[in-house]
Amino acid sequence: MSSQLDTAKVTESTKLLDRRSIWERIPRSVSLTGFLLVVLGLWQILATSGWVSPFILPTPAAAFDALLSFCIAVFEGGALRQALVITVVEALLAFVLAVILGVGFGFIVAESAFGRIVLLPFLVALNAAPKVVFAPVFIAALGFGIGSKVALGAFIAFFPLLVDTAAGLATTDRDKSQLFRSLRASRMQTLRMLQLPSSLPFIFAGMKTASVLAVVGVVIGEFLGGGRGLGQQTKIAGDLLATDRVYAYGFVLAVLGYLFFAAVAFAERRVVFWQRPHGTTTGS
Amino acid sequence: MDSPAVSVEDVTKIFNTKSGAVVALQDISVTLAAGEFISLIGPSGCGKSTLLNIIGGLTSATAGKVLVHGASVTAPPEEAGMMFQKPVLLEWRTILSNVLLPIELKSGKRESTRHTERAMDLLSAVGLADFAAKYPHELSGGMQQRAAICRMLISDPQLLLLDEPFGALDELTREQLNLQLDRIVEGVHKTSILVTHSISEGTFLSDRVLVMSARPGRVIGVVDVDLPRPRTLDMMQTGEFLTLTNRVRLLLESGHDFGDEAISA
Repeated sequence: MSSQLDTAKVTESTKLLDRRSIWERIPRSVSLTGFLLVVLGLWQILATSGWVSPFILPTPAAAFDALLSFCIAVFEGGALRQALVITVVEALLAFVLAVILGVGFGFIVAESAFGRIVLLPFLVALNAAPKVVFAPVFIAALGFGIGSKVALGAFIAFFPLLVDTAAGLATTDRDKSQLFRSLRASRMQTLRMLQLPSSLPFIFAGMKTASVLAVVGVVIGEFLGGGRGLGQQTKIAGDLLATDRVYAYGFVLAVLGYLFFAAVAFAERRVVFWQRPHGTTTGS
Repeated sequence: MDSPAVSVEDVTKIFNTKSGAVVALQDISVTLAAGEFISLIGPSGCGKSTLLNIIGGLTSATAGKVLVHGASVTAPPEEAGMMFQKPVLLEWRTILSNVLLPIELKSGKRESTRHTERAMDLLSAVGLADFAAKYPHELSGGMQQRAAICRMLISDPQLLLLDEPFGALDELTREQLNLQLDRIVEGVHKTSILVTHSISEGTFLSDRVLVMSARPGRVIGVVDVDLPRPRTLDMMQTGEFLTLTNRVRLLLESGHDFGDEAISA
């Protein structure tokens, strides 16, 4: 009798201990695949129900077909491969430019009185503006080639990096600063050997945000400024009401953005090995 | 050579806060002979860390002056080595590279690699030789603080300024590190100033214990510790040691602002 009671108590307490929800207990591969299947199923039902026009929502199969033919076209070469290459190159250049601008201005804002007092308010005001309004300016200045897209992508992506870099430089640990003072370190030494490494986690957080925004920025540039990139191909498909291709190209661009992000996250784990990364999501 | 290692002359420090001026230190005068070890002990907020920072050139005095080896302190003196309550190691550098940091800052990267052997000797002396290539986050707090001792000693400073260096460690680790510190200081006759909360730690390591009062911080008494060196942990059990710590305790209590009822017990 008493032993039965004990068993009951034990099961009760294990139940209490295992407070994890069902999503934490089943394998992640199962839950992710399952959720994907549910979404695809709903999509299929919605697309074939007749409630939604096929110009708005093609069937998953149609979108998949479009994706497949895109992949084949890219594999075989030609205009679509060129489009993909152009967009990748644009996004890469935009990202690099954003890092140079963001980290550079971040340094100026954090380390100089001019930057902090005079420059910062203007940069904040600039950031508050919807940046896409500057697209015509970039197109007028740089033409319909990749230059205007790179410029817009960098322009959209650099500001979070600036903010993160400045924040990183400004929040250098007080104890470490005092150590460097007691060791009679010069300002340059403190900047190079203390502040810069200290702010790397922040800079990487900014780079992760910028990696995604760079892709977004160049695609917006292509939508508004033509050219021959994948964003432009998407826009053409949209104009032709070939919605299956819009979904397929959108998917490809999403993968592109994700790969950029993953590459930066990978580099972060290597470089900032001493701490867990700040913010593991794509950021805003 | 005749000038004392450290001479603090009528140092007063006033902080201007929102609620008015606060006198943190008032007319502090202390003289240290070369090789002497003193402790500053007192209640929280008595300005003992501020005094150490003034001697270390990190904070300026409102009045009075500090001389280190006869020279007036206006910036961190070259002959001083500091240790803080936290290890303050750079996470992106190996332990060895952290220990070499003062040399690298002073004389450059190339010169610092020439000191590798000496750094390894220091690390061996505190039992960290096998951890030279590790990074700080791979070490325990006590080990990190030992690495910080090595970093302080790498440039062979003549004056050690110790700001509660073992305050965050557990009692046993703390005793071990105190013992190691005593051996190191004893071996090289360095002038040392230790800021501490611990009566036994201060007494164990020092030649003199300076007891300070709460705001305004003043030296209200000095206890000479004439126990033989090197000190051993056994000494802490002797009646002599107990007498000394009791004397420090009484002085502390007399300068402590407990409020009304606390002392009556």
